[in-house]
Amino acid sequence: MLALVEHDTEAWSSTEPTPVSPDDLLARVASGDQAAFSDLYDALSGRVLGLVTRLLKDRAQSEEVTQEVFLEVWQQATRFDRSRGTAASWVLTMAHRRAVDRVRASQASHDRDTKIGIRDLESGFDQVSESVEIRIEHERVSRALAKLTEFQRQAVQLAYYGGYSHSEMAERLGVPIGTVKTRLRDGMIRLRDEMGVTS
Amino acid sequence: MTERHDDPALLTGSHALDALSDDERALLEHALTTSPELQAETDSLRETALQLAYAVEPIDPPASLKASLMAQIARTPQAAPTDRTAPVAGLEAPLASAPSPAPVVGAAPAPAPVAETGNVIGLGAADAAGYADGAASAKARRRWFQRPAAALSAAAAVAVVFLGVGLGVGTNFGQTEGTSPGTTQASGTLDSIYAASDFQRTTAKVPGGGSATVVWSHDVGKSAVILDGVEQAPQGKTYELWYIGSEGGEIVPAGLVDSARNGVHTAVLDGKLTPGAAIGMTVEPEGGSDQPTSTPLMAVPTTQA
Repeated sequence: MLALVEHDTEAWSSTEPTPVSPDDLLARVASGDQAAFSDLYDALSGRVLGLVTRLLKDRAQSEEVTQEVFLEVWQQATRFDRSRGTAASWVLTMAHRRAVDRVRASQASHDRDTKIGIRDLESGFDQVSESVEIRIEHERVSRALAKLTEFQRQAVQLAYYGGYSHSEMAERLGVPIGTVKTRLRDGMIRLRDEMGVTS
Repeated sequence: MTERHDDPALLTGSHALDALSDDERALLEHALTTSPELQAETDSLRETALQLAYAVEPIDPPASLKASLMAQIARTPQAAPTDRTAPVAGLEAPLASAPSPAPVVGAAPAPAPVAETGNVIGLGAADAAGYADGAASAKARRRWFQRPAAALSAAAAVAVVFLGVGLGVGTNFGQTEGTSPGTTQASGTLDSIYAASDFQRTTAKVPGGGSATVVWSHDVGKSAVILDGVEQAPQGKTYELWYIGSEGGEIVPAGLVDSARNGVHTAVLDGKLTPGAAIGMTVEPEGGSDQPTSTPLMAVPTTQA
């Protein structure tokens, strides 16, 4: 399995590797292919639910958002522009955005700053995975995050895993919004360079 | 500071992390149309953010979710293909079906996070009451938590000392952005604390300026203090860290904080963090002391996650 891992393309954790790439599947989904949609769902749904749950905590809500995401994938597949990124990044970007919207919407009525919530979101991600691919990704991200300053790392994790807007972060951390923006941008650029991301 | 809050070039990182308000996103996206450089940065940072997604453990959805989805798509028409200039992910054109509640952007103050409340320097009686149910011994509590008046005046005195030092030695304030962490040797332990599932943190203001962030994990059994914008200890003095009340009310030395270079300094505490211990910091004579000789600059109880 390890030989299949290619970080510059996609490394999916599914125990049954999909024979066709998500990009090809999405192209077929765009022409109304429901079987391709089924395969695409199998390839990406675990990733989507994992990410959404990371932000929302609540499993029922997270499944709901996952369903919304894939319905949107179905509807919008026709508009996917392959030159702008991979199908996987398209879907996960959509998932993150929806999870963030949901977290901010529910914030007013729910106290998401519970002790558990803070612990989980600031630890960022789970420790040990059974999947070799996830472990490798995890280590890469951990290593790269360690190169950030404490404040950059904090800001990046609050934003990505906590769903905080930068004005919320400015208020919470007691720093000007401009400082939060700078931390996020500097932190992300540092992370990009550390991880060798090219786009 | 006259920072331009409306400079779209500053927004690329926030955009990649979905931290922007709708207005700010519109501002950035408008700027992208005329700046290939900004577009390239935005794209690369979005791809970087995805690396953060890849580090999250996948969760297999229940089979019922797929079943209901397959039934749903069978009767849902797809969007007509449109302009290829639509931003990636089509996120900027909200779908009719999308629940799009107005994002709460710091309008009403969010409830104070548990871990950030009450961690005030020179803890007052009210704060002490909140912490009094911890495992720390009565003796330690008395020493560290129940001298509000004394602590306050001492804090004021320390502030004066810090001010004097700042004038004499020069200050390191405000140099934290974009610089590397003050020390790196501690980063392995620090990472293991951060990665722990029971990771916790609290931030306290330090008299004289700056803040001290304490992070800990009982699973890992370690804690660390991150000083930001805190002036160096006065001449001939050093900051010393302590575990308080961990072993039968003992106060145990946990190492010195050398200097606050670049305004940011990270120190992993020596020894093991035990349940119920508080973490404190005092100013001590150079070389450190066996027991605290001054009023703590901070004392943070380490609650169990």
